[in-house]
Amino acid sequence: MPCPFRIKYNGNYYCGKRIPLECSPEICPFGPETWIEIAKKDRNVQKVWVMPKYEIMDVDDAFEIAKANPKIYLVKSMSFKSQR
Amino acid sequence: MSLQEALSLIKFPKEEKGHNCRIVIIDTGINPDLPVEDALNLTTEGIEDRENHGSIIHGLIHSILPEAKIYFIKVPDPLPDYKLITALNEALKWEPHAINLSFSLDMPSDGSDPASLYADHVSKKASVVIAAGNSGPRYMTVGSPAAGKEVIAVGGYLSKGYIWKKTSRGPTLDGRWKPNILAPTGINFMGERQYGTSISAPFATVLAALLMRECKSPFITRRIMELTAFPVSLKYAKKRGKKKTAKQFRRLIEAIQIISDPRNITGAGLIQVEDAILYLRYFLSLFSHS
Repeated sequence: MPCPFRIKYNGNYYCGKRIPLECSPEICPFGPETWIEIAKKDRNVQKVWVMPKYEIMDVDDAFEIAKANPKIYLVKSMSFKSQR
Repeated sequence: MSLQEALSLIKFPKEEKGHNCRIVIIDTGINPDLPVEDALNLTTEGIEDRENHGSIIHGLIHSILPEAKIYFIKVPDPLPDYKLITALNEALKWEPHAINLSFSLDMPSDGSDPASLYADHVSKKASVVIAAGNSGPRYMTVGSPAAGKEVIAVGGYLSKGYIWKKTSRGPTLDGRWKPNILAPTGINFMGERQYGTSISAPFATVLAALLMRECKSPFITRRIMELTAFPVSLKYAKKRGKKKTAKQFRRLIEAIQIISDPRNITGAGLIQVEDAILYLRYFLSLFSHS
């Protein structure tokens, strides 16, 4: 179960909810037990959402925006599948 | 089970035909033999269904509520999140009572991802009913957009009191229980047995549309669907000849720490249409001045 907020940038993993902090059990907003489950696997993405602005852009640009504004958080872009 | 058996399981009143209900289906294409009031195509191909998915959802809803006005938005499968947001936004122009979305993802969420947030926004105006997903029995698999706080996530229920094993489980990343309710799956329809929470969602959409037609409040609709749902016990259809291994028991014990709440598997229970309508009428009568 990959985490939608675990963002890979310059070879390191960051918490999209707490940029510029690196993803780790200590800072995980969902707790260290949940972190063990959701940090096991990852899905790399090219684009991320800059929230709550609803803007989609490359990780590099989004990271700089999030670093400058603590109210902004990043979420991986995703695709949904029909459930049959 | 047959469609008639599924409808009797959820106590669907036979006289109800869905007159004046407006339902939007966001899916992979229409069934050309069935009526639609209006349609929108967000793909580069024709509006007909090539995936054999949207036409089944369309057929199910039309079979249950033949007089309901059905609107359709064709989307690609897989469906990118930005396109889902466009589809949800476009759906509102028809002022629907309910929106059926049989698309989901097993990536857990706390409801703050764009698709869940936008589905919550749309849920202020229409009931948004979403398939919980088919990634069970793993926990924390109800993902976006079913993880939204205001949407109705629908899990699968087999006949004879069994939960469909592959129904995605809660909780959400922020600890809320999901799915919200269960509805039948494993239906013999269009010459095949249809499984998946995609098949469950239309039953809940139909009920949401009927309630919304009377109360016009997606919040009240969702709460009444949950309050009148029939509790379902935790049992699964057993596979013959297979015994539980020590490994399976160990997994179960580990999972108890994560779930701790059976609603993360069954939600509030199996929807009960007649009870929900009666409860809503009673509820509305309390606030009427006549």
